[in-house]
Amino acid sequence: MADVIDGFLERLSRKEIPTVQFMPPTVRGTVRLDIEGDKQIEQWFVTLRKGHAHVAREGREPEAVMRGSRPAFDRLASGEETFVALLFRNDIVVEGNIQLVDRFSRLFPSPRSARHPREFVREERRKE
Amino acid sequence: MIEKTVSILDGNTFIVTDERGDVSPSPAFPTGLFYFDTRFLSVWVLSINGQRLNALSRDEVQYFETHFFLVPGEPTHYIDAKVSVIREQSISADFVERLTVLNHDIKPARFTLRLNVDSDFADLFEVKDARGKSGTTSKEREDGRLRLCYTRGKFRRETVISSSAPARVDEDGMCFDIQLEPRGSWRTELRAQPIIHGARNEAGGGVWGAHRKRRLGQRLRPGLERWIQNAPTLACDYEPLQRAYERSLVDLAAMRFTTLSGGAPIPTAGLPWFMTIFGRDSIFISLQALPFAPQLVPPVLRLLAALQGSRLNNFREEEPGKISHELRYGESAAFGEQPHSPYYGSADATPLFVILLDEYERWTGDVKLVRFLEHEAREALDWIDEYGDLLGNGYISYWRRNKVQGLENQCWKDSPDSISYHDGRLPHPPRATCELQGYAYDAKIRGARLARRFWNDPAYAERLEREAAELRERFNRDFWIPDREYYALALDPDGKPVDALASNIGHLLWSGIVEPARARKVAQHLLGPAMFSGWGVRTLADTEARYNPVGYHVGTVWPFDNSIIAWGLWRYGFRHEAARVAEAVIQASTYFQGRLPEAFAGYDRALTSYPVEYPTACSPQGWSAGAPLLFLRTMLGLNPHENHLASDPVLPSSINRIELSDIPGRWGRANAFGLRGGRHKRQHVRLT
Repeated sequence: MADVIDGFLERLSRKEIPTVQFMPPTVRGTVRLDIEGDKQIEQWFVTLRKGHAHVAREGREPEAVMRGSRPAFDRLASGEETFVALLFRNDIVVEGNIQLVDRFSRLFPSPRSARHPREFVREERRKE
Repeated sequence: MIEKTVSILDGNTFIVTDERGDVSPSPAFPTGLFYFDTRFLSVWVLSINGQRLNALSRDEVQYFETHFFLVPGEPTHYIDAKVSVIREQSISADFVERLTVLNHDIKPARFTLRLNVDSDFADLFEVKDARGKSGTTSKEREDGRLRLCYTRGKFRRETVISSSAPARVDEDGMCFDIQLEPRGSWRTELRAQPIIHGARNEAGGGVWGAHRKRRLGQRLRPGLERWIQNAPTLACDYEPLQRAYERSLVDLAAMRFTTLSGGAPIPTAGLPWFMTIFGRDSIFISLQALPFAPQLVPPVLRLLAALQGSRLNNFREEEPGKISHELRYGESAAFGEQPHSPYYGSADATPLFVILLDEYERWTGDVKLVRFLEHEAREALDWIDEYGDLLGNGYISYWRRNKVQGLENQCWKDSPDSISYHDGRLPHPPRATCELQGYAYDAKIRGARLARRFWNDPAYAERLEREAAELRERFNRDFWIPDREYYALALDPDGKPVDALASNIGHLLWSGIVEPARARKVAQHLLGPAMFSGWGVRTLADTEARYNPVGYHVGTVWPFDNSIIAWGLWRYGFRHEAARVAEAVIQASTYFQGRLPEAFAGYDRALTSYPVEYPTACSPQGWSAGAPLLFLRTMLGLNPHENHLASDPVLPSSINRIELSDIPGRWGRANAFGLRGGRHKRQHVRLT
């Protein structure tokens, strides 16, 4: 699962992330991601504006900074874990506007195991 | 309660002690200092010359402050003490205890005062059934302070205990050698700081540190005074109502909670188990308190909007557009042992979110917020039909996808046996409880108003109104049980009525989904002997197989439930019935010093002559504190209009006069006045 986060951010910049439709147009601001690798910290800037996400490798002073190890960001980007859980156990550290980070984090995908509730009901009823 | 506990709280932080102010391990009655769902102190025991102390008296000064007056020795064979201790405990960001030791002897005296402390750093979910911790604890002495630590990976919690007077610190606490002249006194200030590490290893960094810093700067006493001053003033000739109102205002102030992101505080569900964000509870409390404290609403709506679902997740039962049920900050949520990060298992919070947004605008005229949250409100309305309707039959129903920790019943009656047939069988999931359909109907009607008036989308408004009309017709066909003349509690997966008679039908009146011709019958059931205990409407009628007067949702009386039922009766014009329900619950409050518990037993009033408190009920409880406020609104018949507040009071027999002044709203401030007997229809024009 190498570079899951990079792949996610690249798809986000190509507008291939479906959860963007749930981003309210009122959300505005830049989140900087500081992804800590073995040797260096990689930075990404995600700017949310008018219901869109703009991704860049450089940027201005952000409204919020998210910092964590690459595996932590990979777990987020695979949908395996939520930002809130990672924040609460200090695997992701946030400085600045946490609500903006919350909003940004809602762009990460559903885990593979996820089911639409109707599909879940159909599967469960078939088992009976 | 057999063993009495004492609590002080300030929203996010609270401490539960025994009657002498001590905290010591007790599985039956959990005590301790809690902060963000973690216990930071599990031992806090004071002794003098090796003897525990006992309380002569206690003064519960304010919700954040209690004073204990103590002497050494057993209270059973009390001998005039030569020494006494005053313990002034208060809580805010930190827990502070001011100790005064008084020598009453005519001779000088020496004492050894000892404070034992410890922390198990239990997650709130571990407190009831203790489990082994996965992390490691340690203790450090430094500079006259004691630091207790818990570490699991990068998760770190600390309690730092210090004293203003010099102390001999050891790993289990601290000791003070005190020498006092005759009638002399000695003082110290003890402080316990709960600390969550947020950034690397520096204490107080990151968002946790910022949150703590904000709370360290707050001043509780002036804050409470401001809160009371901003609320309407009540004058009435019925003391129990006066007392319940004043108690409620203070309890609602006490239970305000600030989230990590800061901003204005939000109402929480109750002490000690539910001091966190609950979608349903925070929305209902906001609705109850709207005519009194509208400032509670925007932070609730904004927070729930920020946490609104955007993906599918089985463990947390998340779906796009869904409003969250419960957020927890403790270890079990952080490590995925519990799904509360946040958990989304409630089928009603999403339509209720839209209802609150509309009701808030009707009172305050805050159009800006309605426009700001348009996107989220539309997502919530979409959720009703796309994800809430599990069977594609036009009804919201629920079936937990998290089969381990998920809730079997995802309506307000969330205990496993709450939804049953008349004969006691439990229906198979998915279950479509009736009040969920009422909320969906109301959300669509209100959503249509918002779309037409503020979102400039008349086509969407028409679509919502058409869907609401179809839902109402379908509902009245499928849920009505003609031979029993009430609405079924739920529909089972085959579309058959789950035919128990339950208080949920009162919520239907509030939502307006009931055919007017059937409303009288519904009201008769609610006020009839099977449902009305004399202290209020039972959650389940005593004619039903599962009825149990001390069953959590199957026979007890809930003040919150009754406040919504009375509001529903008001909506359909059953004003005297609404007043009767309000009166019964207010009368019950006199047995709890004005503080309504979460629930009381459903025994008939003639049988017990006083309301029996449900055993493990929370107290104070958020929406029980909200109930007297909503009862006042209902009795006074308050209704917001474009530029004025209308009032059409109908009072019960025990109350002759109610005067409520300075009711905030889009009209500025207005007064309402109710006299028993005549109906005083008044229109209050802008006053300030």
